[in-house]
Amino acid sequence: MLSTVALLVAAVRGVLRLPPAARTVLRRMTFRQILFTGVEAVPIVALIAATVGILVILQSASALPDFGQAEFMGRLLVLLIGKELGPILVAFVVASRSGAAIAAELSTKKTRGEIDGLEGVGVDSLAVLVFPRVVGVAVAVASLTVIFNAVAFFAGFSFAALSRASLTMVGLWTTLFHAMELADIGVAMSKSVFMGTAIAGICAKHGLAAGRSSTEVPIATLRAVVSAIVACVLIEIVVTALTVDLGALTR
Amino acid sequence: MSSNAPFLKLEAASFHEVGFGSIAEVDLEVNAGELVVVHGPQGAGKAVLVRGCLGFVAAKSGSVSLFGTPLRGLVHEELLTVRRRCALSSASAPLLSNQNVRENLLLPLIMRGVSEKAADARVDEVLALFQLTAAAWVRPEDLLPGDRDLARLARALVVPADLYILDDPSFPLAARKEFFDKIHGGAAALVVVRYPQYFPEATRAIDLGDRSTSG
Repeated sequence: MLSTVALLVAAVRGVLRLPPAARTVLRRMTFRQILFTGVEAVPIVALIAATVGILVILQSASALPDFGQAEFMGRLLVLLIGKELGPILVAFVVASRSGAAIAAELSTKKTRGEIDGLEGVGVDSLAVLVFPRVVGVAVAVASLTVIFNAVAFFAGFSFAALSRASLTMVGLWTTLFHAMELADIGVAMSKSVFMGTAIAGICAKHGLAAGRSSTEVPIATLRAVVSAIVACVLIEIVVTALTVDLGALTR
Repeated sequence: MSSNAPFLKLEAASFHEVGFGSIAEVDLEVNAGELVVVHGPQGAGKAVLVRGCLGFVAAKSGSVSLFGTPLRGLVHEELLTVRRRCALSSASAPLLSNQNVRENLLLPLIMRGVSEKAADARVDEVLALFQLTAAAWVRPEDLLPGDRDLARLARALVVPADLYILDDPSFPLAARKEFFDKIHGGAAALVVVRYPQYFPEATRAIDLGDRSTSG
């Protein structure tokens, strides 16, 4: 983990040393990363979001009234989908899709010597190859989390309203907005940004640590994806533990 | 770092890297305005020597200094500072495969603070020198092997460096002239070739075969 942090710090320092003209190029690279990680992942994220939304909302709508807790449905959905499932499921998708791509691309560049080629003409490979990927993935994970939540709630509410006459779309959205707090959005976005940074940083670190043999590319990719997923789980647990009202559990 | 120090100095430097071979106890000095040619047969250790000169492989023994700065123990950031004054062309350090030839040549210029307009003009000029204008929008993988070597060399020459380290370069006539103009203008070059006859203008020639120095 420390080596990933050191890599990220070195990449940021590298960018800070660059002249303004160079930052324009980095901005273009970052947009390309957002396009690949964010925009191109929308269909798969939307599919998973719709499935999760329908299942969670239907189960909640049918089970909570049995326990006399129907009024807590909005809050439960905000906590379960918005704050917990959204960020972590999006992170899993991004880690397995873009994280693998970053690790494979960078390890291939390393084995082929392309990174030495860059540094041999005085270009900081960390500033050019790592920084735009980290920023791009962090922005993409946060944006995809917003899309995940919107699709999950919309699909879930639509399905629930169609299947149960007692539930209406307006009623369900009203319940949701009343139950949502600004802090919930802040926590979900913080998790997403942390997870996105961790995914790109860890995958870049594993990619750049590959040797000169092409057999190291799949090994680096595999290790990168597994480490990124583990990091996302840890971030999820730590941020939740720090932000949840633990006192309420013992009351 | 001393301003009068040799651009490149190797003292009894030995290198070994898997895939690139070994070379033992090399003494070498390249000063401003000099073209030093290192030649030797296949397997003499030319490739690992080139990599060692820029700190891609650490010296097993002896020392390597660039512009008076010993490379041993330098961190990435410090290495980059001295490498910024160099330009490398080597088959072991190819162009970025996900960018076309033009983008590959633009990147080192823009990262050095050259404006996009000036960088565009310079890249056009160098592409013409290397007769690569028609290949500007092609990715390196799609070039013929000969053009790929030229594109690699063009990326090194496009950069305003103090020290050029060129592994087995083959210049078109116009590009060769620009290369020598740079040397006469105070830059220096270490050129690694199989046969020294390619560079009769060399200030010194070092034979890795028998390690004798002439010139």
